[in-house]
Amino acid sequence: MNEEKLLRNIKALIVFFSLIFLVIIGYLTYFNLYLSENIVRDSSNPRIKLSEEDVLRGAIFDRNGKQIVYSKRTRDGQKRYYKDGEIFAHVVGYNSYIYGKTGIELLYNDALSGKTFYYDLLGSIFRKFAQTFEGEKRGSNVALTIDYALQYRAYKLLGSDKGAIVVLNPKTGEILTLVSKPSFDPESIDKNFKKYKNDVEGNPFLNRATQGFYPPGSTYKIITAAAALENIENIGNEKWLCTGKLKIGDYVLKDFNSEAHGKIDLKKAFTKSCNFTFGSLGMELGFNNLNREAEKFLFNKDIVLEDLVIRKSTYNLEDKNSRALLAQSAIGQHGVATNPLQMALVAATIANEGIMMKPYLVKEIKDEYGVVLERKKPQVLTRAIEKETAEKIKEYMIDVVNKGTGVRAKLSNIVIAGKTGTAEIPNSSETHSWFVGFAPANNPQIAFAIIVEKGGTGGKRAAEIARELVSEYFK
Amino acid sequence: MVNLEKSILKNIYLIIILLFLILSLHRGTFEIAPFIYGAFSIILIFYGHFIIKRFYPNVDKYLFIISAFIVQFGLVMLYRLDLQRAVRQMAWFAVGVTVFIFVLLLFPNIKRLEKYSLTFALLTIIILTLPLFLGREIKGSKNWIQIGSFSFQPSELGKLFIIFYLSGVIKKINDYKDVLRYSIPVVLSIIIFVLEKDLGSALMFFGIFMTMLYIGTSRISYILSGLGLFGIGGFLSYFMFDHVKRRVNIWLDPWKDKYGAGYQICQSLIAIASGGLFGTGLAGGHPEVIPEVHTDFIFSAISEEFGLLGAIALLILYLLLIYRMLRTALYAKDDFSRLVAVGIASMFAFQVFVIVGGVTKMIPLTGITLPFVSYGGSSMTISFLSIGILQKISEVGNSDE
Repeated sequence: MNEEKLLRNIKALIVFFSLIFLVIIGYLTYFNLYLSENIVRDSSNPRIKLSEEDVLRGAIFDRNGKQIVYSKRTRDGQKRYYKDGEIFAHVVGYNSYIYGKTGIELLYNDALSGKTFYYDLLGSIFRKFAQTFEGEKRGSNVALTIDYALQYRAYKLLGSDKGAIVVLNPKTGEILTLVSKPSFDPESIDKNFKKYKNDVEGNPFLNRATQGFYPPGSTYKIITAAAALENIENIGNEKWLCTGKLKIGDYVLKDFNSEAHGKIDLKKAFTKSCNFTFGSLGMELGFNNLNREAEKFLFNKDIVLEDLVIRKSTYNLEDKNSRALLAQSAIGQHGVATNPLQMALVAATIANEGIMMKPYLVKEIKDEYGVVLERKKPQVLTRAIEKETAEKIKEYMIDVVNKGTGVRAKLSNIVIAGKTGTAEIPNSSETHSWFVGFAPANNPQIAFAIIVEKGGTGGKRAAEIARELVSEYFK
Repeated sequence: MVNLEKSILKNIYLIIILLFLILSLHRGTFEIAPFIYGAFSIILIFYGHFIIKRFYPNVDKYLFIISAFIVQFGLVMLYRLDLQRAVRQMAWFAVGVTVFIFVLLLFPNIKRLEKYSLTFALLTIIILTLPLFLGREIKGSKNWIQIGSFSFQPSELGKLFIIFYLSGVIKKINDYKDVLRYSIPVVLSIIIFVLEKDLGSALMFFGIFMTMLYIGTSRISYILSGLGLFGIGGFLSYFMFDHVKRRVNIWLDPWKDKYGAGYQICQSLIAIASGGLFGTGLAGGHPEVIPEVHTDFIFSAISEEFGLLGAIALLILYLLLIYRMLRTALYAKDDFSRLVAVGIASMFAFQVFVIVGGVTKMIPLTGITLPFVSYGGSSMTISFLSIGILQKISEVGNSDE
């Protein structure tokens, strides 16, 4: 055996092993830099639960400080209680270690579980220190813009029907009520998750208020009216002769019960929800005008909100030159799909002089000592239409409730502006009942959208709910 | 040189005290027990070092110092995870230091073992087959012998025997026929390991064999054919043995069955990922949720609480230890001792690679211990026995200078 060779080999082995260790270290570094982030978030990580169990989860309040959700210590951890759980379910969401989190529980998880470095660094160091001495770690509390009483009433008003109600402040965008039915009970989510999930018919996990995808029906005439007012000169003086049946080639667009309104102007057509007039307007305006107006109201646009996820509303025709389709889209029956929150924003835009405010759900975040960590401010989402246009449509909407299709929403002491909608369901004789509006008309404090699935005409079920809601709010 | 040693030892003592200070305060109250435990550790290191210094002032003292430092990672982690096991591990540390000193004081010159090659080969096979008759299955591997309440992992001792055997025969290899003849005990051992479902040890035996074969013969062709044959064997055993197939499949995608077969490795990965760069701090994480965290997965626990930096520090300590071992090989006086030193160094290197690579999903996971750190008597005793043998080689190597 050549000793020199042996020694040389051993030296080479030192290099070889150094390289092996370098590979391990390199891999560990790569793992930490690129892989670890996703791995930590995996639902099988028990640390998520362990660290959250350590901190007593913060409470969720309504706008007036009424408790909606809170946690209490138990012998082996903590339990979360949801007051009127089904009523607030689609707002607050659920908090499960098996099925994850949704809603405010998900979006404000950091604050609720006491991670407040993001809000104020110095304060959170102080809090950590104080909590060490108190022996109890508590998360921060979230105050919603939701009005407990109004939300409660809205939920009850829907009765056993499927549907959704959104009420918001048109001047600020604060959401006062957001109800979707059927709902689920967040408190018993671990037990009932599969039952809810398997309920394909009711689909209680679907937040119809933000994720719904309904034809808006005649409520869409607000947008068509805005398009007409902004694009056709002297539209106020134009007159149509409504025969109850608008013939477009082979297609016939009918009015409700084929009622002929006779000689009619825009204001009256709006009040009576005349399909003949609006169908004609749609053809006159053409795709480009209709599409532009829809997009001014953020149809076809992604609306990014901090507190909610809103499904994109759409305005789209498969044939942009088809006069029949243009007419149908102008009355919100074809090519248009939206959700109640979006329609509440449309109503709020009319109420707020053409300016659409950004809707939000969280008013403020307070730490466990009551110190405000963050207070949300109203923000403008978009300037949709001219003030003059909005004023005109407001007048129309007042007439709808005073002497038009929405008369069932009328209250003796408060002037309500509104628009009814009866959305046809494909392959069905039943219709969705819509009502959107705001009140009081001269100084709007709430704007709302109501849909009752298979609730008949908009002038009935939804209008009545609107009346009850307004009277609840101003009582 | 002496001063450097002293300052290193002082710093190790300081680190031990600091670590146990954290453990005594982390529950919010001051506890004295961790200090007593830490003091034991310091006394053992001091005593071991004292003996070497007193009787063999010329030997490489870093072998012991580095090993003893690595042991502290395990002791601290175990104390934080499971007090009962920590106390037993401290006892094993004491046994280890004792074995180390015994080897140093009583062992003959290692060179004298050269002529017992055949005996070592037989001993290896006998000791490895024992569990097939006497053993019981623990954690899915049938590689334990239990006598009363005392259980022992023969593969640990088998590794040393095979190293002695190979050191004796490797220089006699001249051609492929010799390779085949002398590799019979190694191949037999690997087959036994596969049957016992102890794939980690199979991998290590192969690694040790290949390393020593190359160092002793300088023939790269042997290594390439060895790798080729091992590859074919691995390929075949994937289809022949369900347990091999299962391990490979878990490695390819553990997340597919993260609550079932992949649970251990996924929890290990989550722990390492939770640590980040600086770690959660000692007692700040939740490594206790990993199954078998005190043995195979202790590296994941260290990564979680000491972070990437702590894990790299530990790996560098191992590399330093392996370097000192190979340095011992360089300074040894005869080829047999050299090869023994190389064998032991590669044993440590492969063992660390296989288990650290396994728990980080770099390679398929095969359950073996992290030397000096994992909980367990067999591993601790054999590791210190190995260090003792190297110390002996270093003593002979330095004695004539």
